[in-house]
Amino acid sequence: MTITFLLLLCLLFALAGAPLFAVIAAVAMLAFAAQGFEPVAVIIEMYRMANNPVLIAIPLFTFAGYLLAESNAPARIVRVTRAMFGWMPGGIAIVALLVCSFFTAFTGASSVTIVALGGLLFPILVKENYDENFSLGLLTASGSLGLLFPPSLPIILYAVISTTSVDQLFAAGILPGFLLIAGQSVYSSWRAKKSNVTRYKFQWKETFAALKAAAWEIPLPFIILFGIYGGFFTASEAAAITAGYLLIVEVFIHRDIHPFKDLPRITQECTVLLGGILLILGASLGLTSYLVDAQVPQHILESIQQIITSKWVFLIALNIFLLIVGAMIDIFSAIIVVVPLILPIAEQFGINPVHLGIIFLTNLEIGYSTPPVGLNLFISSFRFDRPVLTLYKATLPFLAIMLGVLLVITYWEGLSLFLVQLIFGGSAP
Amino acid sequence: MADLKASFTYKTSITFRLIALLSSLAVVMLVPSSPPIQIGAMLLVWMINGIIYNGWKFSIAFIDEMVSWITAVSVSTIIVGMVLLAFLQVILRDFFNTGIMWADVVLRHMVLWTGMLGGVLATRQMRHIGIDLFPRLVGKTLKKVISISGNIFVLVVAYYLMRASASFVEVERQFRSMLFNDIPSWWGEIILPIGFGMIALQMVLNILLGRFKEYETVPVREISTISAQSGEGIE
Repeated sequence: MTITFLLLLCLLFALAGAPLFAVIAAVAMLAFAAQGFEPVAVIIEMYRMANNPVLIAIPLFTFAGYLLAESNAPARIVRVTRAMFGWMPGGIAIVALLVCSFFTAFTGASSVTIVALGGLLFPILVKENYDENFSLGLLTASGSLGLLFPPSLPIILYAVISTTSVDQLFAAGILPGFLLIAGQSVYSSWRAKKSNVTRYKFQWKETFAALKAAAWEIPLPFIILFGIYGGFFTASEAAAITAGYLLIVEVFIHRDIHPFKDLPRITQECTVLLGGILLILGASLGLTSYLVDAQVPQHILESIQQIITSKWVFLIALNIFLLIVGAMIDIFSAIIVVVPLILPIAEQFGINPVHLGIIFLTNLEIGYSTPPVGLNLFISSFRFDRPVLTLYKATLPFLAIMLGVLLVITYWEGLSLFLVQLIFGGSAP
Repeated sequence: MADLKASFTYKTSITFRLIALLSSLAVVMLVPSSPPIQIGAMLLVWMINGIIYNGWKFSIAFIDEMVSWITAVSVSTIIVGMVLLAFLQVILRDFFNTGIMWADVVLRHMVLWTGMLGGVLATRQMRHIGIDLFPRLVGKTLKKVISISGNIFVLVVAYYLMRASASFVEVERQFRSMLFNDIPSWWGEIILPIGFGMIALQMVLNILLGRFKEYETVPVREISTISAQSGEGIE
């Protein structure tokens, strides 16, 4: 009786915005107490964090992302992309999409993209005659674009929670990720034509100069991809190489980051994010072990199966559910809390866990820009000093495209699994 | 938000903080007693240092500075150490076919330490992840009530987690399990009670210093202090 009351109290605190790690840990301790277990059961599960070989990729890649964002790499990468793709119709818009994706993949969609790149790209877009609302919408929606590309933090987190292979998930995200960019690019080119933007000729000289300036950053994606898929190292080792390499490049070669003036601030800034994520992860390891013991996913499955019987209806319901979740909760806690519940159910409906991961992440990516509370909308509103309502309107066309692509990603399993099968062989992973 | 910037700067000088740390450690060495008393003695020494530095009002604020400074310095060391150790290990393993035997175990524990200490920093800066849709919609008074009760909630939960993890570490100590070689497991696990204890302490400090989460209509706090590049293009 007391426990039911306390559980309700926890729920109330969760809705009132109390830190989720505390809510989840409290629920886990109470649930164990109801079964007659000591709260130490939660701690034992939490300590499993120190036994997971994949988990280290999260702090290492996050640190690498913060190093990139804090250095002058954004300017260098914008310059290269612009020199290479600026001549295309809608060139600068496509440049923005590509650069934002690159940064989101490295910083894990933690609002860093809009903050670090928005101020750089927005003036260029407007100066070259792009409609202001179009530019705002583009940059807002791009704030989470690239989430499906390696080495994005949410992918690693999904792999850790679902115990799916990170390498396979990295491969699975590439084609859907490019489809999202392609969708936005086609729309951007069409808009560019309509608003008569300036077009450039391709220049070899500038391209070479730009490539030279960014020579240290360009190999990064290739090191990660070829390193992992060439069988040279695992995802965690790729994270170690990336972080160590960037630390040397940005601190000692480019000297963008001062080892004593800037580095402590950057490490603190990234540990605040890591602390938030890892505490929730630890707490929910405790809760999940209880839920599995109590067979909660099975009970949910049974009640769902009374309403939904086909895989397709389940996928539609899943999409709607995840879009709502994505707009309400941040992506990290959404993955940590929802995946353990949904995964066994989805498997019963015959959905591949790797494909499910891509569906999951695409939904949450869209949730970032969905009114009324998508985080990107607020960050853009702050960064560009525009009312949130303007951003709702500006982002709508991009949202529509992303939703279209989401449907393709959800119902065309092959798009996600093609590369996985190509690289890892076999009919299904 | 001004508070965010403030979390990287301290009122006292590094020398003063070092003196406070060393003097408190000396007192702890002199009074070999149970951990709660030692921690109490440590906090008391810091409080006295704070009072000496800037009067009565600064006593709590100085404890707050010390906690956050020690956390920040440890976490920076751990992160940079983790990057370098992991990098070295991969180089050794992939290019020289050797490796440091204990590196993987230590690295995995460094992740745990980063998470716990990051949690302490997040507590000070009020930047824990939560569902803050509803608090943003309500009126000013209710916002304050929500923030205060949220702080107390975290304090209570962190206290219970600290007690549970302290008993976990105690059991591991009695079993004498080893991490590697002759390093006992509890050396790696001790961060759990320390971390939750520090989160609880930090919450007490937050409450005493009147530091509450402000639910603004625009979630400015979500934005990192990343120095945004200048608004000019790159012509």
